[in-house]
Amino acid sequence: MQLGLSESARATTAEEARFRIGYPNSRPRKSRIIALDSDSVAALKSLVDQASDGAHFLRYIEPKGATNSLKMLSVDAILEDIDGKRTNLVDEIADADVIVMVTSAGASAEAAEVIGNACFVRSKMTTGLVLNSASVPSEQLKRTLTTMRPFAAMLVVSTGAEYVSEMLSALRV
Amino acid sequence: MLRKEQNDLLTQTGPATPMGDMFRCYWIPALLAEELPANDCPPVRIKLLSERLLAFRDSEGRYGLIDEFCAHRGVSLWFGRNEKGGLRCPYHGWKYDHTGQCIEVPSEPKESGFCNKIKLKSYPLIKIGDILWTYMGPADKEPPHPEWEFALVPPEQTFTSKRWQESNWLQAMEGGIDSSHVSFLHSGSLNSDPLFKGARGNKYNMADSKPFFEVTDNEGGLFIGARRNAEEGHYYWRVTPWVMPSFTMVPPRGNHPVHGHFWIPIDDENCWAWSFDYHPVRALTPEERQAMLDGKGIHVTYVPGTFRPAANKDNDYLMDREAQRLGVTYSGVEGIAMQDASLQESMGPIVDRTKENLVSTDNGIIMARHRLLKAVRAFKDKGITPPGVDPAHHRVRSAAVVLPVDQSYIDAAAEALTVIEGKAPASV
Repeated sequence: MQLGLSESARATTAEEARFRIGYPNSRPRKSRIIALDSDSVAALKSLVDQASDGAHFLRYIEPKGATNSLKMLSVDAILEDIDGKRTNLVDEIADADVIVMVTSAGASAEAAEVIGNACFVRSKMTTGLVLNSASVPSEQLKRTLTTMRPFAAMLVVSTGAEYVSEMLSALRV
Repeated sequence: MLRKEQNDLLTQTGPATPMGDMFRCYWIPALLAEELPANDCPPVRIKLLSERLLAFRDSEGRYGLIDEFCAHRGVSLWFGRNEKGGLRCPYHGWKYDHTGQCIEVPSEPKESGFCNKIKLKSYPLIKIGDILWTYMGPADKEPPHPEWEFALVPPEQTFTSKRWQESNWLQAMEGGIDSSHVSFLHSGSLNSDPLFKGARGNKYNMADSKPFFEVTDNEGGLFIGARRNAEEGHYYWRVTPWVMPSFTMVPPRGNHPVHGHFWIPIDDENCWAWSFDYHPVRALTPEERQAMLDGKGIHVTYVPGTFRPAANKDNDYLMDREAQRLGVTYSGVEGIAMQDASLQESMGPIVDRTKENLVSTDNGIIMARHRLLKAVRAFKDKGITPPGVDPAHHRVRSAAVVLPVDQSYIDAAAEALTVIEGKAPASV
């Protein structure tokens, strides 16, 4: 210990950093990564082997009918996992910590509304990832963004598909 | 989170490190021009990218940035005599010009030409705006001069300060693109700081502490848009540009000056936080300039004779628990700059990013790291010039705008995010 230093000065030395508690500070997160279009499915397939057990890679198929309690909103959908097995959106997101919607610029992103609504009523945070490319006209990107914006608390426009894995890794997914 | 090897890659900027080599592709701020106020003024010691250097201004006004130590016996040339076109070591009289070339070795016969064989490493040092800029890379790769708007407007429209921050550059820079902390850490300052208060946008900020975010790639770096609810059918957008590797601008408020930062490594455990305020179309008022000198807004007051903030880790940042309790300041630390710096320094000299738990609203930070990692690998492996070197990438602005809900800031505010000479900033 170096005498004469303030508490803040002493606590922030590299020497003191060695005594930071090394126990884990979070539990594994459960995530659902949902491709909204076929190009995004291809991007996600390449990530399946790298992901943790808590990550489910899914594809949006179609909406399910509105419930009696929420007649105006479609809040469930049919999804399909990488092996082609069908599942319900509401079941998938029930215990998920992170929900990521992935789509390509220019693709129709109407599925975002269904997923966004389902997450909203269950107080789940959503992230939208739009894979952009120089060949996509800006009008098409704009249309995709406008559709997704109300339903994604965080919307990311990336010019490289490799960002998907980088983001998932950063989020511990 | 980052893996350890990724964290090491981004945080180590000394000579012959990949990130250090990448930083050496850019013109970076080295000193305030006022640090060398006159010809033959005292030289200044400066450490940049883990290299100890000496800056001086010779009898003809030429700026030099050279190895700090005399080639003879390793004496610091800070003790040197700056006179008659060069800097003379007081130990044995060896003299160097502004390029580091030795021009006199008194103990050797002049005719021997011995001094021609002695040259200290030197880097170009040029004045643009209030700043002396240097380029520390290979001479044959020197890029065009920087074209940041804040440095190019007339002197009466701009003000720049710098402060020593006792942390790695990356954790400081990441604070500059982390828009979600403003509603908490700086909440006490929005309505009281003379360089922030009174803007209509503050009302939206305070009414909506859970902004939505939109991060968009661009050629030079990123735009990070934070949107909050405004009047019916409209969003209030605050858009922060980040230009690689370490330039950020804060979205403006009302007609206040616009501010921003550079984060430049001193070494791996310290950095310079450069802070500027400018207005693109008008002079700063005497009151605004005085507020900046008084450490308001993003500036600080100093330990006299230094660039160390008066509130620093040695005095626990003058922590005021009563102000914290009453909500005068959210963290108990006074001033926006030190509210940020105190927390960033508390992480330790180089934060261990293997332990962090990022959430989706941290995507601006995640994307910036991704862009840096991608650029440093492309530069190291293929020699590709990184984004942000091209002066075209410097011509960006921050913006604060209210837009209909169906409009994308990147389209609707495209003009506002670009420097247009004579055009006022887009601000609310």
